[in-house]
Amino acid sequence: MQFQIKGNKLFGDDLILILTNISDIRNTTFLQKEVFLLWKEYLYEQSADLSYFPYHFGPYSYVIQRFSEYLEKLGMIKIKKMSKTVHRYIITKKGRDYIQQRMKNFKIDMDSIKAAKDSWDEHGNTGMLRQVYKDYPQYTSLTKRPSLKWY
Amino acid sequence: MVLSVSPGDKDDSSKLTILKIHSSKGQITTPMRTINRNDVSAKDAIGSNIHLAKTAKSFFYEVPLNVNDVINILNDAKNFDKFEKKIFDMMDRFSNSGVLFFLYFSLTNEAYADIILKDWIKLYVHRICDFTNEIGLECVILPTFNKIKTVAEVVQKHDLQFIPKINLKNDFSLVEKEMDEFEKFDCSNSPLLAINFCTYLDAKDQYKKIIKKFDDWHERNKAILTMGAERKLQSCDNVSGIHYPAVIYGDLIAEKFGRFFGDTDNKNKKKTKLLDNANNLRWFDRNGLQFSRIQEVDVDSFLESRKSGIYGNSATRGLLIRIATNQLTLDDIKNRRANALNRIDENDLSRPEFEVFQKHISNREVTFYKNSKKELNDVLKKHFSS
Repeated sequence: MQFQIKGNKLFGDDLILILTNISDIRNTTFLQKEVFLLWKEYLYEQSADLSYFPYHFGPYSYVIQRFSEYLEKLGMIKIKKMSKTVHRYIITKKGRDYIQQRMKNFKIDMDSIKAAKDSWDEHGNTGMLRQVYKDYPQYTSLTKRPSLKWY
Repeated sequence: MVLSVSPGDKDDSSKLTILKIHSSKGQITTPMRTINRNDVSAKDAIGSNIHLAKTAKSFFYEVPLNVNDVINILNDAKNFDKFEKKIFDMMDRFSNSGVLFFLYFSLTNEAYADIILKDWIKLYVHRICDFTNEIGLECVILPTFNKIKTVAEVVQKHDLQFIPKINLKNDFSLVEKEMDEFEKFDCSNSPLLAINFCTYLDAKDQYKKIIKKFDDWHERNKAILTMGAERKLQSCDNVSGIHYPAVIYGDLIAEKFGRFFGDTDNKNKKKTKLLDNANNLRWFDRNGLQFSRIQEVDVDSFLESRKSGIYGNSATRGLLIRIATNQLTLDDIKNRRANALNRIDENDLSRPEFEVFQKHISNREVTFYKNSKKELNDVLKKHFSS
């Protein structure tokens, strides 16, 4: 069903799968921030609006949260509980097959995206928030970590 | 075994050999840059998007151990737990980048002496090897404790590759003995020798011995890697240098300069006040491999030339201007942003230079490259003739 309604835009689930297809997403903070950066910096024109808004730790999207749960139900990703609060997002074969097929419909510079994801992964949680806060200060108005703000 | 070394081409004029280090993560060619926790912390502090692992394909993770840590570890292996999470986290960050991860438990002088005096060597090595196996690494860097054979035997029992770490500042006869022992080890069990970085002037004989031994070691599929190489050389020579590049798995070394903003006063354990000298902050200049003082740089043209890089963002641009005009904010000082930006900037600028250097080595033009760096060349000549 989802194939028919998507048309020529990438949605949140696609972006999650593109990232997990490169490597696991380490935790929920990284899920939100990496999808946000991918959307803003690489796939903005080709994606539907992901409804990010300023929240406690910068940009947050309920859409992405719901899509991750939806993908798990479809068996396209596994959400592995590493501890009480840390969930790791891992793509499955089904998800990999699906996203590889889907990406054929778009012009996506995967080399740049892979390099960017590797670079984002080098951050700790604080570093990731600092990068997002620095580059997108408009999403920091409600932050619970004001010390990470630059302005 | 996971690591193996094979010599590549040799430049006849410079007599430098390119080494290929094969690992389960892929192949690394010397000379190769390394990264460490300081680079990662600087990246986090700035929120920089610089890709550290792009050119540096190895990561040294150094865990300091004091006497109490050692006693705890020796009493119960479970006491490694306090390090485990941080180590895993760091390994996780670089797991996709093909980075070769080296873990090194660095002992304080007291801890090192205690291990030797109280005859804890075997137990200590045994504990470290158990832990290394547990976290899935296949090679282990260990100090020799002046008993390199004993340490090697314990390591081999754990089916790990042993990377002996020798201290070049030790007495020459001791260093020489350990190097000779290393040479005898089978290359599949012990492919690399780690040395702590020190300047040529501090360990002339030791370096001469290394230089003499290079060819032999390479033919035996062995290599050297430097640890703890400072980005800024502490020498008073006003030039940066590249330290025995193609043979030592090393890094660019640059000049050490004065204290930075917001340094911690070790005695009083509090932040010193903002130093009145942005004068002490120097900036890496790739063309001369030197540092130029930030005040001597025209900030506007500097920013203009770098706007597609780390200064493409108004936050980092603003920080640089505040540094140059001595107007750092309390937030900047508290978060040590000047230090972090300097390190990131040095990374950003020196990496392309390092790539040029690597390319010259690949093309066997390293002599030409050295000659193009006049000041560097003068300093190296001076070192070798002294």
